[in-house]
Amino acid sequence: MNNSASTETAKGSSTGAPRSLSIAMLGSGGSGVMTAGQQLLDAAGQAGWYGMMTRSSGPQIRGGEAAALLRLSPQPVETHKGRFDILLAIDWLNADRFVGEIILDSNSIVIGDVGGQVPDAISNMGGRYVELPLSELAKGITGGRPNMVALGALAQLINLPVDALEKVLTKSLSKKGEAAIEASMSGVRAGIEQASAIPDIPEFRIEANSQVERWSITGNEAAGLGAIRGGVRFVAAYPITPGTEILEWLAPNLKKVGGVLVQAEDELASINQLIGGSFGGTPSLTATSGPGLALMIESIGLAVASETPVVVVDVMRGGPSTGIPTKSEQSDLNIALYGLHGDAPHIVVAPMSIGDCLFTTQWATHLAETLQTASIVLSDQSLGQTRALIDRPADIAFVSGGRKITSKAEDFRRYVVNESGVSPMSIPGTPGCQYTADGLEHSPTGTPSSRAEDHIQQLNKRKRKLDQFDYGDHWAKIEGKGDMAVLTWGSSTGPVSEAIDMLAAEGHKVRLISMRLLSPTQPERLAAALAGVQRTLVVEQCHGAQFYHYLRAHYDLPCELRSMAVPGPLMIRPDDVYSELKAWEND
Amino acid sequence: MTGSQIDSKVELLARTLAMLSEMVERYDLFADQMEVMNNPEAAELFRWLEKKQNSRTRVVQELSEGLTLPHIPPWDYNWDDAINTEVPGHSSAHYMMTPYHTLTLAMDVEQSAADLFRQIEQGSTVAEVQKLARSFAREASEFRDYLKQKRAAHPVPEAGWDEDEDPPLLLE
Amino acid sequence: METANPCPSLKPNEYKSGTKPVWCPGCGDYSVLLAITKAMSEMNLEPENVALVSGIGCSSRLPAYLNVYGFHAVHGRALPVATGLKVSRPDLTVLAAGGDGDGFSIGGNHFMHACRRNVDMTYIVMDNQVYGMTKGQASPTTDPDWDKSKLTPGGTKINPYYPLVIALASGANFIARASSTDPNGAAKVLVDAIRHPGFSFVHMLSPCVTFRPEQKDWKKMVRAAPVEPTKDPAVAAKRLMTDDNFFLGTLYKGDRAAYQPELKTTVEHLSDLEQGFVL
Ligand SMILES: Cc1ncc(C[n+]2csc(CCOP(=O)(O)OP(=O)(O)O)c2C)c(N)n1
Ligand code: SF4
Ligand SMILES: [Mg+2]
Repeated sequence: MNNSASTETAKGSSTGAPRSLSIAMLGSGGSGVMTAGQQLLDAAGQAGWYGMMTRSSGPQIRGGEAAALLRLSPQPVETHKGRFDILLAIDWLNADRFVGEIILDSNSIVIGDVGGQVPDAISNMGGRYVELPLSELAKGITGGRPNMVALGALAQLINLPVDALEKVLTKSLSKKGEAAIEASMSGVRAGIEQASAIPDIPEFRIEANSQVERWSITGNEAAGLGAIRGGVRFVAAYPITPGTEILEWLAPNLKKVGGVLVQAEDELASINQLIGGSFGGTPSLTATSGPGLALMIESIGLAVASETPVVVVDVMRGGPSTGIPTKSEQSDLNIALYGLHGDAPHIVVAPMSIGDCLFTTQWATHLAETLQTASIVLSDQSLGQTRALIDRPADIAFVSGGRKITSKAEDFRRYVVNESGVSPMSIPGTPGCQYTADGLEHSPTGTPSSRAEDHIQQLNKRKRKLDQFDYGDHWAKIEGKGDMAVLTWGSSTGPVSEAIDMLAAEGHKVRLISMRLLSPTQPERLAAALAGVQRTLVVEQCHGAQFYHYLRAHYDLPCELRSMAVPGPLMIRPDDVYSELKAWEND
Repeated sequence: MTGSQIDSKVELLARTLAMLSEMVERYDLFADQMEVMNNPEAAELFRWLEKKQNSRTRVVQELSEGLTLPHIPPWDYNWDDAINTEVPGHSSAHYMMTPYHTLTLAMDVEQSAADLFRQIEQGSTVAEVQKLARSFAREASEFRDYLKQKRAAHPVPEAGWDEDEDPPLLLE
Repeated sequence: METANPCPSLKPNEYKSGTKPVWCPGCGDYSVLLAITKAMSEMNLEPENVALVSGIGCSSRLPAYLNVYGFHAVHGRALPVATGLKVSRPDLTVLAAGGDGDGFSIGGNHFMHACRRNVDMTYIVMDNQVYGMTKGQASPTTDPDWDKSKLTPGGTKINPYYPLVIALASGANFIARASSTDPNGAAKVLVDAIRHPGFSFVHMLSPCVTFRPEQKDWKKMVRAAPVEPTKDPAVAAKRLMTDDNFFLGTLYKGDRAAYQPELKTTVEHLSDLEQGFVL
């Protein structure tokens, strides 16, 4: 069955990439740029804008150089551009480490404290330099801090209403008391006044938008919420960057809904605790990153073989081994798809935006529960740890059957071979339906068996239940027409989508296909989505072109293919994809 | 039951029933084991023993009809280990055991049962208990003799009967 | 508190599944199976409300032979599976079982943390000082000079692991030793262990007649410890210094509260959780 054609929607904004402003705030050791950045983002949200903020920092646990990278826009944004309109530094210590991540040009404005020394690597990129007496002004205010002066200055530059800032500061400082709020506001006002001297730059002004409910959320928080919406009530996990925030959000919130999070002794324990929780009838999930996923693999196979639903969210980081823990990469695709020993069909899905972390995790839970299998969700650091302002995500309710039974059933056989491949699963406490779940190959009753007949029947059953399921439109996002396409997945979708918008503004149509469902494969659906396409660029953030090879292995791709596989730690930027497509078009 | 004095019929019946039903279960287990280990000869003998023991159990059950027997927790059984034949280290089953071994095992069981009932008879002060214990002891002895007779039909296994040229299997 | 049950509603045999074990005749694990069924019968446990989780090994084959809910997991991971199950389903009686290799070698870290975490369950390790399932290699509890395995010619020359000491040091709330050579005594220990709140560890001597035939002598070597259980870890530790691995009975009964988070909903709607995201 194939209904992917109907999912093709006309692109809403064929006017190019969203109008937006990119702002970087730099500072080291206690300068408070992250806090100020977050407040700027929230205030922008208060004013009805969209936006996102990514944190970037050195390896130090405290005191290191840090950058808050913001992008604000009247329209939703899902990726950074790489180029920044404004770079504000409270100090320049070690600032050159961000070269490459922060790109400036002659239209950029660079703001520094009076007497500061802009590193050559930054000043060489161009941009107009403006000095503001950030620390001096802060000194003049009791409890004043340069980051608040900076915040005020930025607000002035971009036309952000002061009451939006006041609201945010009042809320975030409410625990610290009146005096702290007043000190911060004084700093902000001083910054506003100073920046008024900077000549008005019309492109920087973002008009206030209509007031609709806006959420401020990271991909990791969204994944946590998706888990709870999907019914997850048991989580066991071992902390790991950049997945930990999922757990931090879940621990208190699970508690409120009658669930629980257990901090396990390691990932071997966490995945197996999930299997126990799920065997007991409680939808169960864990969050980890590459090294943790590697440890869990044996038992994910147990979940598959014993048909015990579990959800594993892998917030990918640079690999292999400990790799680059604080940076994003899409290089866990292979282990997620192929890491399991034996023939072990399971679900692999990937969110394609920060907000989509919610839906995709919820869906993954639904699929695991319905199909009695393991779901791996491939999120990544850039989605997980970036905070975005988004519209309130729609409430989606799935009806997860899962064939769980809690009352006595006639002729109960846990692994009975049937058409759908999904057999009844009795929950402990159900009389008369006791069985032993087993990772050994088994007969329909669960008795260990090494007979060829049992093996082939159970292998077929476990494959059939995934193959036959109707994944509907959720399997991919398909946008646009044209004989050129970009095939991508996960966090690369944002930059790809924006590159396509840029081309659209120039009158070039390029089709976007971003796959949310990576396993089981959907050859018919992809064939339909690619109908009429002659050239396809495959975009992914990994060195080994894992996605490209996956596509070549599992799909008939009659078109000409090119791979754009770029490893982390730098994000793929819309400009990079745009240039690649442009170059190919002109070939 | 060694050492503890039994002075009521219901207690004797309860203990005897527990003992007999454990024997039945054990023969059943051994028969299963021998089936799994592909030793049909031993399996068949154990099934036969199970049936025999079962009919004795039924006799004792009939004697107990209308009476309320006390429940005796397993840790209070304390009868001779020869009866707990599944316990490793005793004359437990072996996958290559011959009928001779099987019958010897059963003879040991009956012998210790007979000894046990005789002890109870001597230790008790209640005539009814003594009488019952005496009859149980006689029955066990008779059965033991019968088994001995049956065993005579089978040759004494030669040394090395349990030699297996193949190594054990590697499983998981 | 091994008080007799006035009237068990199910006989020990009725806790068996009917699946025939693959164990060697004479293996100690048969008696462990028997002891467990006796304990469950004495406690009047309803089979559907009991779950037994195991790892991989001869001993770990146990769940399939019982008529309770079972999970035969992967090697070394019985305890985490049991932990997840009990924490999310505190209404169930949860047992975990396995071998010395499963529990002390590949799963050793989980053992320590399960003792620490003190979830209310009973863990039975059937110790035969060997890897039975893989043809008789040395395990963590094997004597250093046992030289019958091809993998360790001349013996391991490594000091054995001492389960009771580790359990005590790690915080297990109930520590006992039983032996499959005395299934009735073992049943008594198990009843006590299951009833005791928190993590109960039962070190179950269980001979491997195939790879360690000399262990048949264990029957003659085991004896009841001449003391009552203590709730003082220092006293227990002292006793362990003179333990020769053959004293049977309950060593230690702690009074630490079991780890069991309360599972109670405090919000009316899921959307209450979302308020934190609204600007
Ligand atoms: C990850 C993994 N490594 C190794 C094995 C092979 N293996 C199966 S059982 C076992 C040892 C079993 O020893 P023990 O736990 O003492 O159980 P026993 O058979 O003695 O009862 C080993 C090494 C396995 N199944 N999985
Ligand atoms: S190999 Fe040893 S532990 Fe395994 S079943 Fe045989 S006797 Fe028991
Ligand atoms: Mg062992």
